[in-house]
Amino acid sequence: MVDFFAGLLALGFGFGLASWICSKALDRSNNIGDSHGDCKTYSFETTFTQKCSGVSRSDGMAFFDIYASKKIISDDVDDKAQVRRLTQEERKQKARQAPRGAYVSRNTDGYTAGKDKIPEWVKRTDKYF
Amino acid sequence: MATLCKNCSHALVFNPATQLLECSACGSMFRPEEVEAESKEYREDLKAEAAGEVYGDKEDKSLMDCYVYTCSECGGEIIVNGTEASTTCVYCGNPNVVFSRISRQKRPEFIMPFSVSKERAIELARNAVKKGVFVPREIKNFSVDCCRGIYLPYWIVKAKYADSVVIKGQVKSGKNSVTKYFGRSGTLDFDNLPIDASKALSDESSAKLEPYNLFKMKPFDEDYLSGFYSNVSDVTYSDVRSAALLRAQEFFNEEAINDVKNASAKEVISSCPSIKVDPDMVYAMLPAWFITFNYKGKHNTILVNGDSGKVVCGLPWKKVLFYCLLIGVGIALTVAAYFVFKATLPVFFSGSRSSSSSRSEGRIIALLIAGIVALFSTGIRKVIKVIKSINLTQDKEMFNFMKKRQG
Repeated sequence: MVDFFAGLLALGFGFGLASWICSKALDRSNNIGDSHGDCKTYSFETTFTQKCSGVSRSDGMAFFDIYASKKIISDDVDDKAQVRRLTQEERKQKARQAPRGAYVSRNTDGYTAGKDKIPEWVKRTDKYF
Repeated sequence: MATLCKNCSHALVFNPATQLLECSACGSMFRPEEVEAESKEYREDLKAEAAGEVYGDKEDKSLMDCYVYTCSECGGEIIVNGTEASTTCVYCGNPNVVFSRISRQKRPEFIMPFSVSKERAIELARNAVKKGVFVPREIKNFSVDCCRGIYLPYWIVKAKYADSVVIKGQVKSGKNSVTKYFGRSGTLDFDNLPIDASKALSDESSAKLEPYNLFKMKPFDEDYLSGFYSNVSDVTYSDVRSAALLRAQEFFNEEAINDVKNASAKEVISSCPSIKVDPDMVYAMLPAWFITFNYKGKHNTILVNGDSGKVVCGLPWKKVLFYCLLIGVGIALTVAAYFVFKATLPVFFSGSRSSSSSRSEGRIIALLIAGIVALFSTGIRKVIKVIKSINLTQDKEMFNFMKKRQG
């Protein structure tokens, strides 16, 4: 009985570990460059406004019900229209409509080049939010 | 039209190594911003036009979706599709930029010039492929069918993402572990996320080419297109929003999971994502090399980031070697594990133990079984990931995106 059980566990463990080792080697060998930029690269800033930790499922879902609906945001662009550059007039109008004090300085961490000079494309869209 | 040499009127080609426009006939070199060309005079007052408006009525489905230009060098007919912005003449091989017919609003604002040359891109691809243990010998010594430098259109998006998530995780409570739930609600702001603006190229492929160092971008000058192929944007706001939402959700979930401490096996079980995209997006062209080779009758396309030289591909594998290794390593580990378990298991099965210790031994065995399942599932998931990557490399749409160009 013990021998059979030990054999069964050994078989599972042996082939489980082998499949993990071989698949990892295969991933390294044949799946080249399977990654993309991270939060730092694209100056992502995450802010958690509400948190709850270590609660039961019902409390977790209650948290979700309360805050999920409050967090929905949307824009007013025409979904079916082809993306295009805005005209100077549209840009001026957008800047006028932006709330006061909406300027957000950009985080340029992660870039080595151009630290002394913020390019124009970074500056331009700073007043939207 | 091609940008011509001031000295001999031969077409100029952009050289990534020198970052200059070079004339192959007389050897003259010019800075792209110094060259004056008629095509640079854009009609500032024009509104953005649909391809149909620019090129004529496209309602007739019986006609092929392509447009005919005349090569400025030899007068030959150049055929391009509705989204191509630069190409090469099939007769004389000279570069031709067909951008001049596109209004200012369809013209990119910024461009990241190629800094990796064609030869270097092929060398980088070969070096990356050579390292693979499971890569067949024919692929390691692949012969290049075609290598094309293509400027991909991107919209650099600024957006605000909001989400509330519930995360399920295992928390230790004494000797046991219990399932607990964690809520995270918040926002994610991103300033410069590049979103691929070409429908023909899959978002998955273009995302893998990242990251691009956007600080290397320069104001758009069509002379940078000389000698390369390029496409213009053909996506809608809905496409951009969906792509940005997917990418942002991935990052938000990752951050939320990392924010939950002292828990294991964490996973997001509920989320309510929404996004607000700034309509004032930055239109840019980013460089990529597309290298194709044939293996067992299938076209494979290796992508190389034209700036950083990052190589992206999923390569077919030596299945016999993989399965032999899997079985060999599996047998060796099974034999080793058998002796270990045979020596330790009788301790668990001996009857002279208290109920509490036998409970903890039972837990160890349960943990071992869970570990085995986790090892198998991780292994299978990794193999599926590799297969997906191979399918992307052998994707017919990507091959057509690259191949269906003149020259």
